[in-house]
Amino acid sequence: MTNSTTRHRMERRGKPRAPITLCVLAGLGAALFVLPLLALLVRAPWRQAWNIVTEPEIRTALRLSMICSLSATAISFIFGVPLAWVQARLDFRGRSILRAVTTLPVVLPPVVGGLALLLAVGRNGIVGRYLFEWFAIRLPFTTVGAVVAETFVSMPFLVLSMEGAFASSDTRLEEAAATLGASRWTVLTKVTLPALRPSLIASGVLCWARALGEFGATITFAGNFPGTTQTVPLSVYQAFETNPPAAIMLSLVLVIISLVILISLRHRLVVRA
Amino acid sequence: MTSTGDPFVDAKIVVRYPQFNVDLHLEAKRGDIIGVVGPNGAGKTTMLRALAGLQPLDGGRITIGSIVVDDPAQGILVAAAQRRVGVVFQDYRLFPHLTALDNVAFGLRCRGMNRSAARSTAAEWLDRVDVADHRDHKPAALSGGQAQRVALARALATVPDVLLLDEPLAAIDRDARQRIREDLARYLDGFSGTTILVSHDGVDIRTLAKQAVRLENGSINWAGPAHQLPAD
Repeated sequence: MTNSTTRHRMERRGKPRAPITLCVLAGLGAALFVLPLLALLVRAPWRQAWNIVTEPEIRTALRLSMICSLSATAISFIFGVPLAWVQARLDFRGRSILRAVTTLPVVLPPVVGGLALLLAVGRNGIVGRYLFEWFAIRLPFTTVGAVVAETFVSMPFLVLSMEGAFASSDTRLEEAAATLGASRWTVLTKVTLPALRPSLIASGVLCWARALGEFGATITFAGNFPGTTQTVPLSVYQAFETNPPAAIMLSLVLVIISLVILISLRHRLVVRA
Repeated sequence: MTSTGDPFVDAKIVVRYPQFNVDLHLEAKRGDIIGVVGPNGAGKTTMLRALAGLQPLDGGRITIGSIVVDDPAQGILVAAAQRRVGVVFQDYRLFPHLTALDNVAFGLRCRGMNRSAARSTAAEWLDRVDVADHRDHKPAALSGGQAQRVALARALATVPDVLLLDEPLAAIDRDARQRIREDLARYLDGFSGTTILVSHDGVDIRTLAKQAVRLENGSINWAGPAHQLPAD
């Protein structure tokens, strides 16, 4: 009798009860992320906030960050979606190695990526020297170079996420399209990609967010030149020494953008992973 | 089979699986409606997939019209998109992002018809299968019976030589099944190509088909007029 009453009450309350130790540890874990965020909010120079974010140098950095990160995202779509498709759908020798290489920047320190980019397409790089000699194209220390660095670091996130989407997507619709006379290209553009639209959006936003926050590869490969390669993260780094209030405000801008992205997409990203 | 003269579809189908093999010979003329009955795992779906070009043969040969579409011995395999074989899948497989009308227009567009002609032809087909009212609905908003009609219209709109139906009534509620079965019989009557219809339900075969075969363990163990199909 007592037993069934207890069970009844627990069902009505409907929430699982967690061991207290677990809750304490989880709370400490969460504090690691909450505290720094709180500190930024507490120490932010709210009164000068508007003046700071409208300062010319800051506005330049914000605009450059937008241009570079959106360009990197666009390039990632153009090359990353086909790459993800190939890695998910084609069976070929060396596929697992290709997969590892194309997602390496996810775990690689970005500064290493920047260095490797310099050696590849820098002024004296194995390909870069010919780009310069034959076409007078110079990537390091240019805005295009910043875009390349951001693409290098952010595209793997799009590839990883879209590869999962292609691998788990329903091939039954593709078969139906084939029986209706659809060419492989039509199947891809009219059936497969539209069906994966939510994944495409989520992958693109994740890729853009990563590009927006890119620091190490950009500063190594493209340098830190205001108006040319100094994106918001680089400008935070510089302002940290010369203008701490501006560094805090810029950091908050990045935090807010990232939080909005994660709150709106987290369920999708976690499920896809 | 009961057919006389040259068959329009001549399919010697051999597909090998680790646990079991499909090995059967099916012949059909234009205008035939052949019902294929058999338990789960008898090879019914494999047979349809081989005819549609979704499952390459391991042996045998499939001829549709005078064209060899699959012959592993000669290295011939015509892709699904190049065969004139329409399929109504058991789960319909309507494109979820397209309206009923655009689902039906899809095949017509693939075969080179311009957008407005494809849409007006598609509208006629939806009207023919009595779902004209739902032309602007996405598949998620359609009932099972409506989705089946759209799937049938989509397959018929490209005017295939062969129409394959895989368990067309399996996803229909018991209450609506008899009525939808009768409507389906009427639509199939208007199709001049070869129809091959798979069902595990002898009632479907007797109602819809003219000839019947029964599959078991990958081969045909009975063939005859549909109305003589023995009850299991």
